[in-house]
Amino acid sequence: MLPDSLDQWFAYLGRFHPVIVHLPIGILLLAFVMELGFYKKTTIPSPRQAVSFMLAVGCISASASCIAGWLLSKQGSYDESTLAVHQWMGIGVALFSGLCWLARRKKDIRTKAKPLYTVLMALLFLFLMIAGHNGGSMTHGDDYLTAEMPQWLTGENKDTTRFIRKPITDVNEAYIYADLVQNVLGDKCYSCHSAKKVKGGLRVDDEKLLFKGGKHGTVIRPGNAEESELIIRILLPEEDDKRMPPKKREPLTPEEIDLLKWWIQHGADTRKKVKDLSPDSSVLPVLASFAAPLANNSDSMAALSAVFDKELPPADQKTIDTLTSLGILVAPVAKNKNLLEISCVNYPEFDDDKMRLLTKIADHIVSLKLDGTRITDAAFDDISQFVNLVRLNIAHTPITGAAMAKLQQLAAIEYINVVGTKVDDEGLQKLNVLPGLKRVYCWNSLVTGKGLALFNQHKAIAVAE
Amino acid sequence: MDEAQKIINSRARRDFLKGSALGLGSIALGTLLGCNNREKTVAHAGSVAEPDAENQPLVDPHFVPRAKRVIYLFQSGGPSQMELFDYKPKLYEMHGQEIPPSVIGGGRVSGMVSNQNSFPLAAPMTHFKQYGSNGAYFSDLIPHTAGIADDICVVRSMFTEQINHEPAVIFTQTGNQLSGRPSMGSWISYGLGSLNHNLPSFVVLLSKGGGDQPISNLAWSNGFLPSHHQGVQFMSGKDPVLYLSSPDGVDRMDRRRALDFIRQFNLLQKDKWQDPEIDSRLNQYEMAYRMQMAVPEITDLSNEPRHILDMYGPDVTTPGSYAYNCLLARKLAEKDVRFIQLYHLGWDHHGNLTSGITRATQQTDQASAALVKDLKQRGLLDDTLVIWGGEFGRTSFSQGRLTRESFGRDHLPNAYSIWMAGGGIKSGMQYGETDDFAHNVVRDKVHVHDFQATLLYLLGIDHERFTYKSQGRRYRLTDVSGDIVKSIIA
Repeated sequence: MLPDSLDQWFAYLGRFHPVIVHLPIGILLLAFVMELGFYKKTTIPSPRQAVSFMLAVGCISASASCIAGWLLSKQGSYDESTLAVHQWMGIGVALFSGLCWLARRKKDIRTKAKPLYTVLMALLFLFLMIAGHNGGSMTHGDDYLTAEMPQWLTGENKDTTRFIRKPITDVNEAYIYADLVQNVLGDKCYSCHSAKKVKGGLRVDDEKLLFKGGKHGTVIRPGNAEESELIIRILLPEEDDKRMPPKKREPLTPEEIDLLKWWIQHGADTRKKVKDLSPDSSVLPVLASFAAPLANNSDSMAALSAVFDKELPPADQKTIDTLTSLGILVAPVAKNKNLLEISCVNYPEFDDDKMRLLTKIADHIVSLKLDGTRITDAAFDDISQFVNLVRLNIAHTPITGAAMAKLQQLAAIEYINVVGTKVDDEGLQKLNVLPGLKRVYCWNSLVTGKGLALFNQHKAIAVAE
Repeated sequence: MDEAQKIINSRARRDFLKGSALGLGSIALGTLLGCNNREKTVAHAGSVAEPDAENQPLVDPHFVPRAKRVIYLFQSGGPSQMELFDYKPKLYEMHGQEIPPSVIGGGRVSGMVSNQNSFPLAAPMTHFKQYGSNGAYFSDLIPHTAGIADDICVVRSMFTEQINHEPAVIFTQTGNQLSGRPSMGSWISYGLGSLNHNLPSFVVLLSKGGGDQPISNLAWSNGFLPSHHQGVQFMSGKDPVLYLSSPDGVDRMDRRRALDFIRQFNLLQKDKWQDPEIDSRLNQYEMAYRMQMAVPEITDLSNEPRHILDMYGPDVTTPGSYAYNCLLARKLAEKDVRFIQLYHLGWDHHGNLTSGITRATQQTDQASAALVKDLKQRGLLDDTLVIWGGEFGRTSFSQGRLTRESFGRDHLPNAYSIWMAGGGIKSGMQYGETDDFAHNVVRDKVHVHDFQATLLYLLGIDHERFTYKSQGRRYRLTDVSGDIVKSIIA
């Protein structure tokens, strides 16, 4: 079907710019080559007519190309500065190829007009190159040519040109737009949609421009993530030409997509902090992922006590052998660690006297499992020396609440199990001072609901179904 | 390693064993005199000589573990995800309509439905409500599990490669569809050894009264690992472990003497043939002897107070029921058994799903939740990983005719749900997402090998460095794949 209005005709003709534009480039370049032969007086016979014919055709096709180009520039949104250079260089090519043609026609070019002609041709060549390069940059992106350039040619390390994310220390205090959203956009979108390149008329590095949108309209509809072009494009299948980021570019992670959706759904406010939107639990893991270190390939032990990082000299082997011979399990917490865990699951006869033995390796004990043994409150003078103790299980032993006060020096302790003991409310409250305590299990002890509630006012960590 | 070096090494082992034969003899003497059941050595190191020098148990984990032990509540048959955990409102709207062909796509369906010419969607037979502090959806069939919503992490994006029971079960348990590889429990028993040398480190409990789909003992096989790492099955009834108790009239001292005498023969034989399986046999004899004391204590429920029994439900007093086995699992966990593997059959609902799944959930829901609560109140959930899950999921379309009263669902490897709790897993979490038909995973896919890699990670094991060489190549539980699902680790 043919276009029916004049505007549409113009728009249609404009699309011929990329077709026509290659004619002057090819023809004029051939003219240069032939002229080089002419100056060198090589074997090409009398190129005069041929060259002037080419310059004439070059001039006509360049002019046609200029017109089509001008029509095309009306419909697309191209980077304005690049477009201006391209436009004037193109016009220059049309103009100078015409002047060259006029100069070449003179029969006495060998003598009089030769310097002038040479200068004109050189300028023509220059304009042609600049116009061609800018044209390419606008269609394919300005890093198209250099993207695959070997590093020794570019002389720069590619990684350093990447957007560097700002680290987030406390997600709740972070600004959703400035700290989180821009981090994602910067990493995944800036290379085509920022000050240095504006594909599709969209810039995401500037708040106003982001909300203004691209050549197809706005990309963000506050309160409606599902209908926001930004989200729609991101969620298209990878094969789709409209998908963003395009094929071969690093896609957004599911967490990043969720963040953008959540932000837009909640009104796409650019001033609010995360805590202002009181995120619900479904989005919490997403937000948490932004606080985590980005390059997290190591065995993450963030949730483990810092005690496990301690380097200690090996524990006294004689003591370990003695304990082992009793049937007590003594095992390093992991390979290449000298910290020990001790279990008396096979030695229920363990009592206060045997606790003496443990004091010889006091610093090494991080986990002590004494449930069901015969220890009493008297053993706690020894236990209080285990400064690196993280886990203490003394369930189902004859101990009482009075012993709890002795645990107050154990700064590293995280887990205390007094299930089935005579530990009472008063004993439980003694544990309140422990800074790293995460859980106290006091089911089936003398701890009452009241004592539990009182304790949990400070830290909600005591458990007794 | 060249052959000459191997022979030299094996000589070294021979010398070692001669020495230890004396040592073990003196232990026997000690037990004769004192008649108590403790040993001079700690069994947490697998002390048998291995055929290949590089095959050494880890003994100590690669890194500090989050979980010390595992209770795996295996729901064999393929529980339907959209009747339990994966709420799909679209299915109610589209009841009776054909499943869009694009959803099935190129994916395969089983031979049981492949000649069906209609695939009508079947609305879940149950309704969903939100539970827990983050409003996760659970079905009315599992009110008790819903009650522990804040303690568990539901993974709704599991997928497997197998579509039939036996290969899918074997795949989940051993990382390979064909039987012959070691089960997870065997790998862990071999790698980390026992925390309690009076009990096996890998115990299997098979519940009765489930369904007709059988389960093969290859699922708890040791594969190429030394055979004392195979799962030890506890039976219901008078003898929980077969052939464990001494015959009437045989005194425990007599048994000890007989074992010591047999040991001498075995060591002679070992010296001659260098067969590591002789070590396994010796280990098993000694374990059986110690278990004679330890097992009756485990299976004796007379000390359990009434309110604890009530928590597990009315079946708990029936030996061999799922509830009974759950309680046993807790008692084994208290005694530091490393890997406790339960199997419940009866989740294979090809037809008449409504009554089938009602029965299966009645048998399992209360006890599964009770186990988690019981472990929690005892302070054991922190370092015990509890897993609930089957070998695959079920289709959202009906198998066979869809009527008002009855319909069925076929096997579906593409997507299924499991849950985990404790042992370093985040609590109160929903992970992964399927499409509107619970047919394909659309987000955060978790492959069986990913699940296994995560399990090993929680136990302090790097699944890529934990290998065993057999028949000329090194094997891993996760074969050649598996990524740790870090997002669900607390």
